[in-house]
Amino acid sequence: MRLTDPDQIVRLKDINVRYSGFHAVKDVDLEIKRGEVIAIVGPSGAGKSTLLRTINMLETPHSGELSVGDFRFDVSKTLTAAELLKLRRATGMVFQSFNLFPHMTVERNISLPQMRVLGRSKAEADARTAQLLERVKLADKAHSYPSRLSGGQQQRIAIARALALDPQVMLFDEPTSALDPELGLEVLAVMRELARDGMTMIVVTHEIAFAAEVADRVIVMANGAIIEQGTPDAVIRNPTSERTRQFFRAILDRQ
Amino acid sequence: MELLSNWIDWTPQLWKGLKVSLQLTSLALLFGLPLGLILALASSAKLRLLRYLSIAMVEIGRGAPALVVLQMVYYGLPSAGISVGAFTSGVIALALTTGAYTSEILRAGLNAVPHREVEAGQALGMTHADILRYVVIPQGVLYAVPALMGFAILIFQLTSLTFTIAIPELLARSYRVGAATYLYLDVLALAGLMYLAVTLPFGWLVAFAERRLSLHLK
Amino acid sequence: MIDLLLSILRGLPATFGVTVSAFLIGAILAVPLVLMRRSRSILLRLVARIYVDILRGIPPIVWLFIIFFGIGNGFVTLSAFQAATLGLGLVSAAYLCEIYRGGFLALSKSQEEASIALGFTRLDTLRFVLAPQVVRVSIPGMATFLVSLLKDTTVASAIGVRDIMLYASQEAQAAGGGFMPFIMAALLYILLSIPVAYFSRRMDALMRRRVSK
Repeated sequence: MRLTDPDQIVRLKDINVRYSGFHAVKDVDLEIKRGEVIAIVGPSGAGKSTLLRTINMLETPHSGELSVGDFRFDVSKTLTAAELLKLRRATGMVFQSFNLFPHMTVERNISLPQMRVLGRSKAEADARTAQLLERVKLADKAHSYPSRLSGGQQQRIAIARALALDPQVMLFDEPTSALDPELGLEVLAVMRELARDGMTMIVVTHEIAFAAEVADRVIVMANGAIIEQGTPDAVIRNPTSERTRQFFRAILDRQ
Repeated sequence: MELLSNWIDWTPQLWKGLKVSLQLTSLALLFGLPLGLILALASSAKLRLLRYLSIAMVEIGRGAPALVVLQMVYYGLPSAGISVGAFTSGVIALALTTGAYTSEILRAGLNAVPHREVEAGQALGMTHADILRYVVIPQGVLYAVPALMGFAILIFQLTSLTFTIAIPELLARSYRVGAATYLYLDVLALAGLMYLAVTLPFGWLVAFAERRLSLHLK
Repeated sequence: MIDLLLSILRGLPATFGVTVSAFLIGAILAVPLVLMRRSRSILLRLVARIYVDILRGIPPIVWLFIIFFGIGNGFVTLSAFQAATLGLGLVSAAYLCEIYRGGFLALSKSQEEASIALGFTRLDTLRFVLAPQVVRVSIPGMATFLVSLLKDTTVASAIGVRDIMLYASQEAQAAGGGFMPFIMAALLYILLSIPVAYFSRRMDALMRRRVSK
């Protein structure tokens, strides 16, 4: 089924996620255009990560519709394995704890998914891997094991691994929350470049400065619902909702 | 001393028995470990029938005493028309027991692989089979190695039970010498020493493997 | 079928008897053993360590043979039942000693230090502070061991104890082969192990209420 607007790449409609009684995400509607960079911010427990993980179905919503790229899913019906794979091949995800495979070298971490998921030959996959490692400035670490690398390096490898599959949308779940500020900077630099190159990105983050600088749109969530969204200027400087004001005030006070 | 010279006389015979015990152990592990891995994977399968079936097999395999399984295979198979020798019956029974016990050990090892790595594989669009093959099993089996080694020692000790189905392993040979000489205590002591000669060093190896693994995981 | 079951059930008293007796012997004998293991005397520690390693390193059936044919034939005459109980009791002591030892190791050292700082003697520390907690912590391990001991008692049939295993074996031989006697025996052993697991959970919950964390 075609999306109404050919520029629209992700659409969530009436998404609800519940965990044993707890309503984590309430009636969320969201539309994202190709090339947009979205930052999702808000207090802990607001449902930001849950919402993000719904986009590649690592969380299962109870009701609603999800469209990514050319695929549209009615999530009240269980998705088939084939549908799930299609969805996940269109999206790439970067996790807070990097989630690299510790028993494989960096090169294999990035090449194996290409070989198994996209069917590339080892030569093709390794070539693309080398390209991406150049891009994240870690070309000399191809044969190292993740445990030998710093957090910032591991996260950049994780980004390369997700990019290697040529996703249409990149999802970032608090990519710098587990990193020292210095190491976080290297990762944010890579993300900034990605945005400049036109990748559609949805980033759940606490880095308000980064959101203000790089995002096209900032979405504020609290208690499972979207309470405000708009350009960074509008939302951060002139929030309309009191809850949003409260949230940003607390952040500014801490700095 | 007379004891020592007797021991020297009896050693070649008992050694043959020890070899049989070791053969039984190796074959039981050779066939039982893959069975254990299959059962471990099946017991977390999504298909309910497969899951229940494998959990039932594991619980029965672990709940039934090894000697019962042994005698059941030995006396049962011929009545079903299948005639294999005593040695093969022994291997089958011990392999079944190995499969049941090691499936729990392997299941624990597979579960020890952090779930976030499985999620990463899912997010990458890898099939469940690929995630098992490339991410979970290689690491899970490694985590299970010390416990599996400990189990290998147990299986080696269980081979002594095959005395009851006429397999000429170490205990059987010692008993035969004892029956001939009435020096039961002497020859059984020698047999005991031979068992210790295998179980003790292997036990130290297990402790060493445990330490190495916990260092590796840090 | 019922006849078969009743025939095999004749072995129930012996199975039960050997299991309980061996367990009691082991549980009691393991106490001085674990104290020796933790003793300050190198000699005592060594002796206990050697005992545990040797008893656990030789298969139980071999121990039964040693006691029944080796010792029980010479100076003392032991019945098969006595030999089985003694043999399995001695082996159990070795395993239970290690279980108790695990219990001691699981306790934080701070308990021991606090009570010594208060001026308790080592004996009182053991009696009032450590032992109750070791007992509570060891119960699950002891229950697991009891179940495996129940299954190990089948070796008693090899020296002629008339337990479930022996009767099942006899029935199979009399019938010229077959699975049924052993299936019944296996089910019996499995059924017998269920109360143990249940009992262990009850005991654990009970002790948790009486001994605070």
